[in-house]
Amino acid sequence: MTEELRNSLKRLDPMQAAVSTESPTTESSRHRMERVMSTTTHLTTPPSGARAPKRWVPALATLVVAAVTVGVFTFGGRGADPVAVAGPPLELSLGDSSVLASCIVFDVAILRDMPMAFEGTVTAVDGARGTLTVDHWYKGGDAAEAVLTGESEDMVSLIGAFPLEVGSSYLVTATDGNVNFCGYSGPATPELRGYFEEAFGA
Amino acid sequence: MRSSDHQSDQRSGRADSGQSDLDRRQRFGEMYATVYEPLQRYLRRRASIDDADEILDDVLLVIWQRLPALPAADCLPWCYGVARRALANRRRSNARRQGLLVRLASQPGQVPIDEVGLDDYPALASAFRHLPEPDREVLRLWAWEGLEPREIATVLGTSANAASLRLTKAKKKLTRLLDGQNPDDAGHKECEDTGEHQS
Repeated sequence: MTEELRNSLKRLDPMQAAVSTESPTTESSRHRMERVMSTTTHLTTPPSGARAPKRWVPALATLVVAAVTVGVFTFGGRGADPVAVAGPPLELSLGDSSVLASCIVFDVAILRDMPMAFEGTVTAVDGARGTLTVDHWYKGGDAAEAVLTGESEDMVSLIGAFPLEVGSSYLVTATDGNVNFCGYSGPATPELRGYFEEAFGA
Repeated sequence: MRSSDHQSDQRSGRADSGQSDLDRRQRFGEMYATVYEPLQRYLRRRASIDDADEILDDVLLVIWQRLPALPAADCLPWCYGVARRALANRRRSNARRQGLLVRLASQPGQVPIDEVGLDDYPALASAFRHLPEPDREVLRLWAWEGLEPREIATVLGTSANAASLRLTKAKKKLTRLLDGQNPDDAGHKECEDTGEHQS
């Protein structure tokens, strides 16, 4: 019965055996492979789409420097339940834009030490508040919703120079209630998600 | 450290680095040969040809960048998982640009993906289309990609038990739809079986 159902469903497959795909040995696919391998890979640079912001905030510098020099993040941890649960929303600050600070280079080892990491989808941006539904907890929490609060609308509309758009997904790390920038939070690109999975597990 | 030792170490380091680079390129070449066509099929089952081709570039790049972290076993399901997330990003991006939740294949001469089989297998195709998307996806992975629950779990980033339950539930729903019954009764029955409450 089960195999019968499986075989039946195969009839709906738009990519049945008769539909051709490009072989990995053709000239164009080999060219594609070479092009991919010629892409420089450095985990010490911010992932594309998660570049260092033009507007830096002190919370970031404080937190990232703390990660490097102290390396003590005690709450949260691997193995935290990734399932978001109902409860009060997580309140996070986007920091103070009035003071400039510098970023350190992006590194998965530093990302790994972040005590809180999640992926969420923006459901509302209202003035200085941005609300995200948490789709997946990587580490350090279980809230179903997160509210990012800045000092101004300008801050909320940016996560380290990224527009915070309703319906878009973001990968966010935070420490002591402050969102980390400098490539440690940003739009959920495959590349940044790959770094999150490398740091925290899928 | 003596200067000659230092120079020797530098040469040794460069040699190690060169060998490591060669090993990495060789491993990626082997991986590429294994996953290139399955990934094309996976993406073209779920996106237009143009989108599938562009997403494939993104997926291959992630595989190249994350090669050292690639699991030894279940590497194809792992790659499907990368493709799944890349596809979701593309859909969100398309939705933002075009106001569409999902852009279906629409190239001239290409049958839209969700209409395949409607002419030849109308009952099955209609029942399949009436399933919620999460159920359709787990069935696609099972029937089209030929994955078992453990591999489906890798793609979806869930436990093998959860994947197995989802697959069982989706199969029951589809069967009930084909029998002309309410598919949701399959879920209720399962809750009775497991003693769980359905939210």
